[in-house]
Amino acid sequence: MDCFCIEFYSLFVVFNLYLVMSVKFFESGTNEFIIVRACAMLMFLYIIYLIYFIVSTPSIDYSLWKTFFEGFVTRIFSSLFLISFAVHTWFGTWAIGSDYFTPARLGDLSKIVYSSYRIFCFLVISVVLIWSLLIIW
Amino acid sequence: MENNVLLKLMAVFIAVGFIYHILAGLKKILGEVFGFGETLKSGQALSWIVFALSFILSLWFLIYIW
Repeated sequence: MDCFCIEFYSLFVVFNLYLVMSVKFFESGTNEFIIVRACAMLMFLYIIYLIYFIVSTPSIDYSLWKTFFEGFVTRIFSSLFLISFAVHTWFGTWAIGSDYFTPARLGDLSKIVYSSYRIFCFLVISVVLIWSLLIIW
Repeated sequence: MENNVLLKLMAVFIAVGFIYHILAGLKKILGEVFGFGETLKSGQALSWIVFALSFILSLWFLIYIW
C-alpha cells in the first residue's frame, strides 16, 4: 500500500509539472488548437486500432484480451491515448468553463465557480490518467 | 451489470455522448483539414449525417448492451 502511495504521489507530481509546462508552452491559441486536434486524431487512431483487433479476431476470451493489452505496442499506444485524453479533456473543459462560467452569467460568483470547476476537472483528469497508467504498466 | 437497468441506462447515456462527440469532432476535422462542409448546404448535409450515424450507433449500442 505504501509503495502504491509513493508511486501514485510521484506520478501525480510528474503530471502536475507536465500540466504546468504544457500550459506555459501552449499559451498561444493556435498551439492549443493544434494540440487539441492532434490529440483527437491520436485517440481516433487508437479506436481504429481497437476495432481492428476486435473485428480481426474470431473469438475473444479473457486470456486473449489480456495478452493483447500486455503487448508492448498496445501499452505504448494506450499510454499515448491516455495522455492525449488528458490533454484533450483539459482544454475541452476549459472551453466549456470559459463559455458558461462568466461574470455575465454568474456575476461575482463566476470566479469561485470557475476556479472550483477547474480544480475539480484537474483532479478527475489526474486521477483517471495516473490510475490508468498504473494499471497499464 | 446484466440485471442492473440503472447501470445500463447510465452506460447508454455516456456512450451516446461519446459517440456524438467523436462523430462531430470528425466532422470538424474534415472541415478544417479538407474543407468539407464549409458551405451552408454541405455543412447541413454533414450535420444530418452525423446525427443519423450517431442515432444508428447509439441504437446499436443500446440493443447490444440490453
